[in-house]
Amino acid sequence: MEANNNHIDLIEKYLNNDLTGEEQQTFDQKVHTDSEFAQEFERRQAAHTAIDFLIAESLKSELEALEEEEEQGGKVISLQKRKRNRMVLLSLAASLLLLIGYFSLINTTGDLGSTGPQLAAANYETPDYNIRRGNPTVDFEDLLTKGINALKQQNYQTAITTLDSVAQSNEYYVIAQFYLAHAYYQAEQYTEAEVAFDLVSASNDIRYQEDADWYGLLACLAKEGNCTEKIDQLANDNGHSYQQQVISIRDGLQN
Amino acid sequence: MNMITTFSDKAIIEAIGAGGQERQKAIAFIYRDKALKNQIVAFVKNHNGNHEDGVDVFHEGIIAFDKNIRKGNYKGEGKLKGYLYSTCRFIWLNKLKRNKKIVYTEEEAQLDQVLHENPESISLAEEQKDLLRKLLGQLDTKCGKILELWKLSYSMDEIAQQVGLKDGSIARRQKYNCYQKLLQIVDKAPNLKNILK
Repeated sequence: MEANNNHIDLIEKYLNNDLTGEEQQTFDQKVHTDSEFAQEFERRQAAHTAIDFLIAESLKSELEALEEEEEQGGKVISLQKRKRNRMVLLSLAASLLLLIGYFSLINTTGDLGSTGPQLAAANYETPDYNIRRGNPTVDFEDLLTKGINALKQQNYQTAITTLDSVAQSNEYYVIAQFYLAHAYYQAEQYTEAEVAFDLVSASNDIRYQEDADWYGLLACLAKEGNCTEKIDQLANDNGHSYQQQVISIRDGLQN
Repeated sequence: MNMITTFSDKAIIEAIGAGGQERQKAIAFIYRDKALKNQIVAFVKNHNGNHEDGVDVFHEGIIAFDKNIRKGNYKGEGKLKGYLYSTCRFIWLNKLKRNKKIVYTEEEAQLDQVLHENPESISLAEEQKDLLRKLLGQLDTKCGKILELWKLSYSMDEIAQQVGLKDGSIARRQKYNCYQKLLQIVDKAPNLKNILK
C-alpha cells in the first residue's frame, strides 16, 4: 500500500517535527478521519521508531566505548572517533580466544616480531593522495593540501606539524589523521604511526577504516611489536579487503 | 589536542535538535559532566545498585534525554541537569520495579508518579530489543547508518561523506531505497508495529 505523495510528505514532516501550525491541524484531522492516512501514518511511525532504536543502539555503543576508555585511563576525544571501539574490543576478545587455540597448536611464545620489519617494508606502499571526501571547506583543503604536499616531498616534519594542526581544529579529523599516520610511518616514527592508524580504524569513516587497519598492522610490525591480536583480527575478518595479505604475512612469520 | 566546547542549556537543546556534528558535541559535553554522573551513580548505589548499574543508567539517561529532545518532548522547564537526573532516577526505579527488587513503599509511590509523568522515557524490554535487532538485521549496515544519519538531520552531502558515497545525490537515492526496505520489513512483521507504538 502506498499513500499519495501529499499524504506521505505530511506524515514525514510530522515524524520529523517539521509541521507548521496549519499543517498540524490538517494532520490531526486526517489521522482521525481518513483510515488509509492513519494506516500509512502507523506504518511510517513504526519505521521512524525503528530508526530511533538504531540511533539509541549506536549511541549506547559509543558511550560504552568512552567509558571503557576512561576506565583504562585514556583521554576522551569525541564520540565520533570511538564508534567502532566496541566492535574492535569484541573482535579482540574473539581473537584472544582463537589465539589460545592457535598457540596451543604451534607451541610458540606468541612473539611474532622477528621478521616484522622486513614484512612491513615489503608490504608498505605510499598512499594515493586522492582525498576521499564529500564537500570540504576551503580552509580544510588548504591545510590538508599543504600537509600532503609536504608528505609527497618527504618533508615529514612539516607534514606532521601541518596535519596535526588540522587534527586539532577541523571536523575532517579522520582524513588528516590518516595522512598524519603515513607521515609518521615514512619518518620511521612507527609507534606514533600505529596510534594514528588505530584512531582512524576506530572512527566511523568507512572510506579509510580498512586501509588504516592494514597500515596499522604494518606499523606494528615495523616497530617490532607483538602484533598477534591485529593479525588474527584481520586474518579472520572474511569481508576485509586486506585479509589475504594479512594471511600471507601470518604465514611468512610462521615460516 | 582536545577541544572542549561548552554549552548552555539552551545551546544543548538547539544542538541536539539540529542534529549532525553539533548533536555529537553536545552529547559529549553532557557525558563529561562528572558531577552529574557521580550524583546518578550515588543514587543508584543507594537504591540496591552498584557502580556499574549507575554508569549504565547514566548512559541510558543520556540516550533517553537525546531522544526526548529530538522529539520535542522536553518543554524547557527547569534545568537540563535536573531533567537528566530525573530521567535517570526514573529509569533505575523502573528497572527495580520490573525486576521486583524494589521494596521501599516510598520509592513505589515515587515511581508510580514518575511513570505517570514520563511515559516517553520507558524503554523497550530486552526481549523486544532482541526482536528488533533481529528484524533490523535484515537491513545492511550501510543502510542502517544512512537512515540513522538522515534521521539525525545530517545533510545528504554529509551522509555521502560519512558512508563513503560519491555525492549527496547518490546518498539521497540510497536513503530512499533503504527507507523502502525498512518499510517492507515493517509490513512483513505485523507484531513490529505493536512493539514500536
